Amino acid sequence: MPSSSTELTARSTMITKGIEFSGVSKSFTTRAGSVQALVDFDLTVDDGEFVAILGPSGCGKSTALRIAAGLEHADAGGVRVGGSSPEKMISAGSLGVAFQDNALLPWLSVAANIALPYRLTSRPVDKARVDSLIDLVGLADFSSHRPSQLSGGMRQRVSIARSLVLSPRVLLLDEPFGALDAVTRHRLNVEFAGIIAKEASTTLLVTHSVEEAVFLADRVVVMTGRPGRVKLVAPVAFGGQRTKALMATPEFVQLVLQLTMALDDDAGVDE
Amino acid sequence: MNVAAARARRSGPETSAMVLPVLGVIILLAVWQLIGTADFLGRSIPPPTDVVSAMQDNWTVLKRALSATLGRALVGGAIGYAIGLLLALMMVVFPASTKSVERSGVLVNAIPIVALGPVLITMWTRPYIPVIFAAMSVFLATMLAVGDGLRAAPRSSTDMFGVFGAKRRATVLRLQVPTALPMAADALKLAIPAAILGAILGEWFGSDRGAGVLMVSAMRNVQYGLLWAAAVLAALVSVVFYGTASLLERFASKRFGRATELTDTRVASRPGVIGIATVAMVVVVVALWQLWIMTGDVPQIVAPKPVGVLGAMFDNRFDLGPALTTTSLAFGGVVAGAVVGLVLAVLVTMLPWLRSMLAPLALLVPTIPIVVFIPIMGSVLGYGTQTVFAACVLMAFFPMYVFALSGLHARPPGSDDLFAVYGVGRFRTLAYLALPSAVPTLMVAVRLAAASAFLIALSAEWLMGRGGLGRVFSERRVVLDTNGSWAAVVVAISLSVLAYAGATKLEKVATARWRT
Repeated sequence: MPSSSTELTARSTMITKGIEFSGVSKSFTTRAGSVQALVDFDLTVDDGEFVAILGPSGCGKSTALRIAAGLEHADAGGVRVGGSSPEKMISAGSLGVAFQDNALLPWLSVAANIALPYRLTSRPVDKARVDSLIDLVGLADFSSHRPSQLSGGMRQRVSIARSLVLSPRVLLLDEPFGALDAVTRHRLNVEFAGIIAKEASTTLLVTHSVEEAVFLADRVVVMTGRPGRVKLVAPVAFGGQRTKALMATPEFVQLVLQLTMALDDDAGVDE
Repeated sequence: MNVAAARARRSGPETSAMVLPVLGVIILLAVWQLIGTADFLGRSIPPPTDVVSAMQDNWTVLKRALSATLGRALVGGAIGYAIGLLLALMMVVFPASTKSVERSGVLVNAIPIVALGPVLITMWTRPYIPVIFAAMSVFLATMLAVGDGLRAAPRSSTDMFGVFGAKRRATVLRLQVPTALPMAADALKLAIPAAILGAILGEWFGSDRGAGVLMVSAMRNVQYGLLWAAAVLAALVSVVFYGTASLLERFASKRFGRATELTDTRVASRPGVIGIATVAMVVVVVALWQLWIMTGDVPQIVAPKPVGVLGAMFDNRFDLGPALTTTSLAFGGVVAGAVVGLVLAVLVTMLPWLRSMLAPLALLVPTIPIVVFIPIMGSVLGYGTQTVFAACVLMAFFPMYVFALSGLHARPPGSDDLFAVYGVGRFRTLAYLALPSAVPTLMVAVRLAAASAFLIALSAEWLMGRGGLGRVFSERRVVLDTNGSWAAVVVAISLSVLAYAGATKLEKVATARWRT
């Protein structure tokens, strides 16, 4: 069960086993000059907590996630993941990732794609674990299919299952449902909430969709446009069990509206 | 900022990026000079300094030979290019003709042009063989590239023209032609080495002057300096024209925007249909041939009857030996070249500095008509099947290297990040990600190599007078056995088309399995 920390102040100040960004800055050099992606970015995700980052495009939210994944390095400040460094987490195989690009290998079957992390980290394949994840994401009849034979939604399910297969301490998700149509995205959100409830781990989700963030997360972080800073942190007090019915409640609609407005303040800065 | 500008920037005056390629060229020249002066590999490799002095000594001869070849290449290339443009336009004006035109084009392209040499020699076409070969080497690539370009207009633009009620002519002139211009310029660029290759090949079939003739006579008279001078100058001419066309292409891409990249994967599919088209075309050709002989009263020495050729194929003087020899040389050469190319591509992927050093080579080689190396290889390796084999290896190696290099990087989007997050090392990434990703691209290279393997094997055999079918052409021609030489032609063409069809099938299977 994800701990539903409902208040900002309730979070512990000791070293978390989750994710901790402290004073992270990152800039990129492009043809147009230097772009500040993140400036003095602070965020703590508690152990077992699910945090979603919302923000205008180009606000540096993906950069933050990539720094936590060890794919980018901060210019200043530090990041601790699972109580140690991203590099240590990588060598321990304790990270799980899913991106908007599903990054499935087209020459492998669904089952082999899900089992891939075992092979990449030189571990024996736990066949039972792979099968149970295939069941969990509802692809039992497709385990020997290849990605090209699946719909976009099915491919994302495979990608999610793959991210969970090693039971990662920390799960990092960058727009995993971003390439899907609204209806499929909605359905996968509901399914994914159920999966998360079973596979509890510390999760950081980056998304454009306010509904998705509010529906899935324990806390939602809204970022400002360039340079990226934390603008607002909103606790989501809907508890552990998220079902479809939640989306119709006035509280849910109210929170979505409030966060949408907060995001909108920034419009015009971006682009 | 657009792609061209970004590319210009990347290759800009960054010293670190310039040092290694320059160093690569210097090392190459130094090694050549060393081998040449020390005679490690015999007298047949003169050092670059000797090649330069041979150029000075024979300047008039070289100039006359090269301008003859260049003239033929330009005339033939222009004819082939024009035919390619016309066919591409025809496919757009009459869309129903697209499939049959494309398929016949691919089929004609699978025929090694040198196989037509013994036939063209016997007829009025004899003096025009270099021009005809140049035209044939150019037309298909032009037709396919321009055809793609004409169809590459974005759907939204086509719809917009439709909504405004634009006439067909206006759509073609104001939308499709401008869209196709970058591809047409690209095809022009590729046409230049192809036309020079065709012209030189054609000159080997009994022309009295030209760079091809000069190279062969220098080879036979052991004038190694002159041989290398002619080859280097032919390559230089090709590089210069290619460079000019590249500038044109860059301008066209910048001005008109690039809708698609040049691909030759598209025509690869449907080997079954290509098979049917082949049979139909063969029947038509044979019928026309028989009709021509019957109505025209053509003497036997000029062109034999189809029945006579068929007889010669099953006659006791003609056995399967030469066909087997040529096939194994071509096939073995492709396999060996492919392995070498792939290994080098993998090495270069693992060692980026090596890639920078080889970059000038990778840039130059596609601009050089590969046949200029055959006489040189003959003089270095000896006039025998080993040279034929080496020529096939060289021919297959290069496309394999280039395609493998891009294939090894054509990984599924996001997969690099995925592998990084699991802390996967280089070798495992190579085995699990890079090599499987490269399979479809590698198959394209194999198909391209299969098409030209027979061309190169036959040309080398013809020139060396050794080996299989190419030797049979020349022998039968000398004894005026037209039936026999035409039979060898028919066998060569059939084998070549079969090899192409086989490679196409292989590519299709691999693509279905490995591509998203």
